[in-house]
Parts: sequence; C-alpha cells; structure tokens
Amino acid sequence: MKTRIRAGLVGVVTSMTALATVAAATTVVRGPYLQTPTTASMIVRWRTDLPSSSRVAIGPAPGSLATNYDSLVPVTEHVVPVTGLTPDTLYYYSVGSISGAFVGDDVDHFFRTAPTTGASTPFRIWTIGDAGFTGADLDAVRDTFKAYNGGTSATDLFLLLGDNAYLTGTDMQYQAAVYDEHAEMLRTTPVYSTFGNHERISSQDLAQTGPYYDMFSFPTLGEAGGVGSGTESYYSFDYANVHFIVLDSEDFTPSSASGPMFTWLQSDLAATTADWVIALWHRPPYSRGLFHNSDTELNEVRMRQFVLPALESVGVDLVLCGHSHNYERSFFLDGHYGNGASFTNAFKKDLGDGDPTGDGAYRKADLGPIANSGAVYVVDGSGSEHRNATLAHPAHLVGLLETGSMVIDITGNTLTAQFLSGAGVIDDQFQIVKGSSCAPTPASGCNTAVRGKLTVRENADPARSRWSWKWKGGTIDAADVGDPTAETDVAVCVYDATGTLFGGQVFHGGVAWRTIKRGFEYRDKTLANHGFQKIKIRTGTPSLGAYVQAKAKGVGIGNPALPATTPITAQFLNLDSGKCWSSEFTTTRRNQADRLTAVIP
Amino acid sequence: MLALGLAPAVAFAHAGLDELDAATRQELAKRPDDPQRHIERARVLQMKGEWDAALEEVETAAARGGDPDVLGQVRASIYLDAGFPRMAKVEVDRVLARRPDAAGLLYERGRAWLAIGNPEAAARDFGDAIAKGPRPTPEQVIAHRDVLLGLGKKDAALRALDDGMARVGHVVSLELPAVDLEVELGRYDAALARLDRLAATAPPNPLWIARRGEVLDKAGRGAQARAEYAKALALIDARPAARRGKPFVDLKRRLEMALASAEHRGESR
Repeated sequence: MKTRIRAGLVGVVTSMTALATVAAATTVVRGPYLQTPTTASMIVRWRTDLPSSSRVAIGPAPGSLATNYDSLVPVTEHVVPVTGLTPDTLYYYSVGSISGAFVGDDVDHFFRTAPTTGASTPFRIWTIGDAGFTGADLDAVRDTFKAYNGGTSATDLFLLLGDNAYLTGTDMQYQAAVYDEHAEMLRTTPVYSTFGNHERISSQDLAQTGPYYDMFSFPTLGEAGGVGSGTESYYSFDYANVHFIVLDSEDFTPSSASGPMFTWLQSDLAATTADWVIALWHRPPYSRGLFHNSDTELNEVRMRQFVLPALESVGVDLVLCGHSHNYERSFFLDGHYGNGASFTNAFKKDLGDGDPTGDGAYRKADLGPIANSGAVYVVDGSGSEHRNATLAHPAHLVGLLETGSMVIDITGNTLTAQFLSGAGVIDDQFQIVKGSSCAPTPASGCNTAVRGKLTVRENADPARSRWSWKWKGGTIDAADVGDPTAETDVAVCVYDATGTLFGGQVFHGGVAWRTIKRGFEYRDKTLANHGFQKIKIRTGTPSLGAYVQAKAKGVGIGNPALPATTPITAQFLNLDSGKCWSSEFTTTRRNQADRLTAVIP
Repeated sequence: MLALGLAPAVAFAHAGLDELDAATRQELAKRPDDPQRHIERARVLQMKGEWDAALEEVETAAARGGDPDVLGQVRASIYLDAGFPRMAKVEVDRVLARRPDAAGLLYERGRAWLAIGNPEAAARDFGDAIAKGPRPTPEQVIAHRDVLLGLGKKDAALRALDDGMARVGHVVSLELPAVDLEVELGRYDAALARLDRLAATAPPNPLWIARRGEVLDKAGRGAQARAEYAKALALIDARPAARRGKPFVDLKRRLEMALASAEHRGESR
C-alpha cells in the first residue's frame, strides 16, 4: 500500500491512539464531493461532525483501494488533493481518517479524471441555476436528469449557476439544497459554481469570506488550465477540448473595460486555443424574467456592455446564466450590447433555431474560438421553481415557464444542449457544429440524378487546378433546398471509394449568396471557401430545367488523389434538413493522374 | 470566522432587489424571533439604500440575541454605505477589540479611514488586512495600491502589490500593474523579470510578450524589443485568421507600428 502524506503536516499528530478513538465516533455529515478535476488530480472534500485526520484511498475497483492520501491534522472540513493520477481514468475511492474509512470503497464512490487537455473526448455537463429551493420541484429536476442519464447521476461535470441555496446561501441552506439534495451526484461528479446574488447575502466576494468561499475549492492559479485569477470568485479551467470561464456578476461586475477581473479575462482569453469556449456567470445579459430585466439591472447591463464584447471577440460559443427563474435561449448572436429595444435581425448570425431536428445546427467554420462567429446565451434559472414572466426579450428565441435543467454534450466538433424539463421532456435543444469539411462518407437517401457530369483537372500549378459537377434530370423541391441567403447551410462534397476527394461546407448568408429565379447562386472570386467559385441551385422539375452545379478551382480544392477509385459520388447537401442530391458515377470516361471525367448520360 | 463581512452593498437602484425584498420579508414573517432573519432583512434593506430601516432591523436582531460581532459588522457596513464612515469605524473598532483575529475587518476599517480622509491609516489597515486576512483578493490589493499611489508613494505601491502577490499568487491582474510601476520607476530589468515570472505561469501569451517588447523599447534596447514584437506577431499569425478577433487585430496593428518605429529608430542610430 502506498501512502502520501501532505507536505508540512507530518509530526502534527502526537497520538494515533487518540485519533483512532475520535475516528471511531466520527460521522461524515457532508459529502464526499469532488472539486477541480485535472488530468492528474482531483480534490476530494467532506465534512465530519468531529475533528479527525483525513484519508482518501483510491484504486481501480472497490476492494482494491491501495493508494492513500493523508493529512494528519484533525479537522472537520477535509480537503484532500489526490494527485499523480492518469487522465480520463476511473478511480474508486473512500474517505476517512488514518484509522479507517468512513464511507466509500464501493460502487457508489468513484470519479473520473479529466481527459487530456485538448482531446476530443466526448463528455457531458449537467447544469442547473437558481436551484436553491428544496422540495418536489428540485427533486423532479434532479431525478429526471438521472433517468435521462441512464439511471445514474454520475456524469462528467456539474455546473451550478448561482443562487444555489435559498434564501441567503447560508451553510445550512447549502447543506439542504446542494449537499443533501445532490449527494449522489456530488460523490461522483466534480462541481463548479458561480457566485449569485443570494450567495452575496451571506458571503462576500470582495473578501472571499462566508460559507460559499469556505465550502468550495476552485482553481485560482490555473491549476486546471487557463490563466490564474487569484480568486475563487472568477476563474477558468480546461476540460478536454473546452475552455470554461467562470465570472462574477456581483461586486466584480466591471464598470469599465478595466479592473482585476477584466484584466485577467483579457489575458485568459488571449491564451486559450481550445476548440470551445463556454462562459458562465449568474446575471444574464439578456432576460425578461420576473423581477429581472436585463435592461434595467445595472449588473446585467454592465456584463453585456463590457464583458460580452471581450468574450465574443475571441469567439465564445455558449454563455450560461441563471438569475431569472425560467428558461430563455437566445438566437445565435453576435454584437448586441445595447438594450432590448435596439435588437434587430442584424445581430443574428443565423436566423434558424439551431435545432438539429428543426432548422438545423448552428455552424462555425472551424474548430477553435473564431472571433465574432456567434454564441448562444442561455438563462437556465428554473432549477427549483419557475415564475411567470413575459420572457419577451427580442434576443431570445425560446422562453419556457417550467422547471428544468440543461444537459450539454460535447463530442469533438459538436456541442448539443438540451433543456430537460422537470417532467422529463426535452423542451428545447440546439446544436453548434464546428468545421466545414465534408463528412467522411457520402450521405445516404439522397435524390439521385438522371444525368450528371463530373470533371477534374489537376495542374502542376495548384492555382490552376479545377473541378466542376452538374446534377440534372431530377426534381428539386424549393422547400428542401431552404434558403442559403438566410439560414440554410449547404455542402458540396465529392467522394471516391476510398473517401473524400474534395468539396466542403458553405454557410448561409454573406455577400456571396444571392437569390436567383427559382433558386440560389453562390459566387466567390476569392475562392476562399474550399475553392468554390460558383454553386448554383435551380429548383423545379426536370422539364423546368432543375439542376445543381458547382465549380471550384485553385489551391483551396486541395490536392485530390487521382486517379480515383469508382464508384465516385458527388453530392449537394442541405446540412440543416439533411436533404441531399447525389450523382453516383460507377464508370469514368477518363481517370488519370491529372484528369477525371465521369458522366451519367 | 465571522460569517458576515462588510462587502459594500452598493445599491444599483432598486432593480432586481424586489425579489430579495419580498423573500426576506416572507421569511421574517415566518420566524420573527430569529435574529438571523433580521440580519438578512437588514442586508437587503442596505442593498436598497434604506439605511434607517436596515439599522432598525439590526437593532431588532440585537434584541433577539444576535451575535454582537456579526451585528457590529453589519452596522459598520451600513454606516459605511450610508456615508457615515466615522460611525462605521467605531463599530469595527468595537468588534476588533473583542475579536482581534477578525483580520478581514481591517479592510473595512481601511475603507472607513479612506472615507474619513485619512489615506495613510487606510493604507495601513489595507496592508494588514491583506497580510493577515484569510483569503485576500486581487481587488483588495489593487485598492491598497491605489491608496498608496494617491499618496504619491510609488515604491510603497509596488511593495503593496508584491505583498499582495505573496498572499494571492503571481496573477496577471497584479503582476501587470506592478510591471507598469516598475517602468514608471525606470526599473526595466525588474519589470522584465516580472513578465518572465508571469510567462512561466501560463502558455505563451501575445499580450504579455508584447508588453515585454514595450518595456525593452522603453529601456532603449531596440534590438531586443524588435525580437519580442516579432515573437508576439508570430504567435498571433500562428492562429488561423478566423481565430484573430478584434483584440488580436488591434494588438497586431499596435505591434506592427511599434516594430516599424523600433526599426526606424534602429536604422537612424
């Protein structure tokens, strides 16, 4: 058995016998709960009714907890950093004193270390806001997540959006609304939190005093990634390929683009290269909840005026808040820092709903934080009750007067967020997909063409290489095409039997798209988008001359490996609806190292 | 530890406080004899700027057996917000006389001294609060620096930042202001050492490298400055174009101008 004793504590305990006596009567009255997960460590905390030494024992399975982490100082608030761990690895554990375990060493006590920073490891977040009222509503919100999550509370991250314990965030209120209520989750899932206005009644962010600051161990010096802030009121951390930024919208709300939190935020944002950026704080920049109007509450106004521009300028993807006791979800936004009345469609990066089963996902051209490329703002404040309100903020697409929580799944280049009501129903969902490459394999179920032609010319000078494709002889329903000038994202992709040859996604809007008679046309002389110079869709029937045409040239098309291997498939896809139009070329007229011609006559 | 500190309960108008107001009133109606409920109500009234009513709640809490130390803090906090710093200081002094371990209160007394017009005493209390307080914050350290700068004591302000960092950690929100002061004092090597220390805490950051270049430039070390500017530019350029938002575009422009200027000066020498 290996035992690690925390530095500096050896020799403090003079009587092991005395400790053992104390330990025998000691009961865990809070936790265990998990904090600040990194690829190599986890902080395990718990509270006992009587002072005792601290021991966390870990191992690969219950009954095999062979490594101990000890602190010999008798305390009731136990905070034990468990270090030297392996990334993305499951550990079972127990907590107790050096005399023995109090709880754990069973199938109910385990944690998983954070995946390697930057890795595209899929993970899930459960997040609740204003969940501080105990009772049937909070129980239902908690239990519906467990049911949704396959009958277990255990997930990867648990985010609390502030006002976690009503009425005033006292230790006793936290015990009931957080530690007792979510005991099962807290012993398996690390928790982070933001500081809410109700916490502020019993705790002080300026001095970091009070129960909120006594009970949590958040990273202040970049222990879990990001730039150190020096305070638990605002901080950042990395988890897999996501950079999380937790801000304080109470006393540290900036009144100008300056101050310690803002200075730190600027440096933190400049340093991150994570695929995703998610920010969270308590007071929403856009809301029309009961009692809480983001146009009239100064903290909300200031967060919107000073913090949002900084976040959006580096490409924040998702902002989670609470405060209003309801669910509100914005359009895919950028650049709106004024009051609700000044909101127009110009601030929407996508007019759609972002629902993969509705208008289709929101899209960003590349992994990583892309400046001013759109973000979704969520008010997830109905964790334990909901209050009637108009929810009429124009920045919001969805407003729900029901209790619930959010489940956020991040899988590589795809973020899927769902609002799970207290009744167990997904009442809203949206998805953000990053990257503009073609899918690795052709879509199925497409509308196939009676006729089609594909030509490719490769040149020693890549700038002179080109390809073109035409689909015709079939029907193209205008409703299936959508509207690329407004919200429909499309792709033109060409595959051979071994994989993608060329093509890519083209997002909606911008000056390159225009409406033409019975269709749409994309023209871009800069060839910036996968080399596309032209994409044209003419809807209608064969007799009306319906067709799809794509032309691309230059270095942007890549360096397709010719000769190609048949069958060769060329497709035009509406990425939002999944509708597609496809030509399959089983034979070629020419298929050489520099030239390909295939025709469906 | 005293549970309630003296954070400024700044009243940003009443918006958003109605909910708290209603909730604390309800709680008080349920348990009118609980001093804690009266203290919570006092805090909310304080946030609303209703000083007299808040003080009345504090006195009711006292009559119901509330902890005199906690009540003293709350009273002091209300006095401070209400613009009666001398009364606030008296309350803090009383608590500190009973609870000399409550070092966090020293910061509040510092605020009171500042409002009274005694920045020297404020600076002393701020310094003690940061040195002895349980969990000092960057905001408190910056407040300490500001008082000393207001007194024209740049060296002391720099020491205040260092003392703060000894407690808080070498964080950007304190180290960059310290760099600025070192530069003002003409201590360029010290400024560079601070930037190096900062750089060791996180991945390469173009903002910090740019600042390093500016310090070198100011120190008259043009060649080294140009190298830093180029390094920062390379770091920005290494980001895909789509990942360069306005802060990076602005920084890049600034760096290019600085680089050109440094090169011009280098050639003309």
